[in-house]
Amino acid sequence: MNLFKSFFPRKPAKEENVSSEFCETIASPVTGKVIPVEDVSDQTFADKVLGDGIAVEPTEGKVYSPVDGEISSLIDTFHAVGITSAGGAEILIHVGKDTVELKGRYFKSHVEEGQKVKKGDLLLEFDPGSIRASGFELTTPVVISNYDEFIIEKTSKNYVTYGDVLMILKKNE
Amino acid sequence: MRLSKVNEGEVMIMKEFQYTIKDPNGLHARPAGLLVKEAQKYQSSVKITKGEKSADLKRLFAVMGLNVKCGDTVTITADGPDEDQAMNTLKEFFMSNF
Repeated sequence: MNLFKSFFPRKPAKEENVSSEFCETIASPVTGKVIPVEDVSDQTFADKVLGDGIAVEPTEGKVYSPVDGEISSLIDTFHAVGITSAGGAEILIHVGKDTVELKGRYFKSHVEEGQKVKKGDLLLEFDPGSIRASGFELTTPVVISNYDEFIIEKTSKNYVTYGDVLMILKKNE
Repeated sequence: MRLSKVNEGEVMIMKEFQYTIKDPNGLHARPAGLLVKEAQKYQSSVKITKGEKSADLKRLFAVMGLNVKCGDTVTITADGPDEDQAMNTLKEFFMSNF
């Protein structure tokens, strides 16, 4: 038992020698159970071909912006969206596995390509019940496609609500 | 093959091929990721061009930003020490994946 710990439970540790201006927080775009990206059944994501990050099994059909940034690409079937953050992170959010096959059914977009967004803006909506009933998995990888430029610290939580910290990126010097 | 002028008096030769996408879903996220990983294996600079827009084939977001759909014709160019090898492998990759 460390007495000091209980006296000063929230005192932060000494400033890390990492400059905080190069840190960027990636908020969870969805609410649900956290799944290590390596465990995602979509092998391309598990192998990190599209980037490194975390997957979330969504409990509700809403995708919010994880950062302040710009919509770099919006797949026209609205099952995936790419956002470039103010700090240069290229974040891909891919709702479900093989959901490209739905050709936009049960998905709706609230943004357009090139649009500037703020953290927490509603980007996409989908109907989880109908998508699952059509036989698709909804596990949603949130990955940084240019991950070699960053050191990624991932949440240790098992469940996140949208807006919770999912990852912290530090520029890889 | 195309000759393009870089600086005055200097002519660069680069390799290229054209391909028309047959995959009904176009160049969507997953295959785009595999394509980018393939392109990253080469030292040469590799580009994909659709109409007026060009993108670095080694960057996923750049490629996805082109929004390549079924029926679109893209031009792939490679320039560098291993350009021949890059062209051959990428051509093969396009034919078997898209």
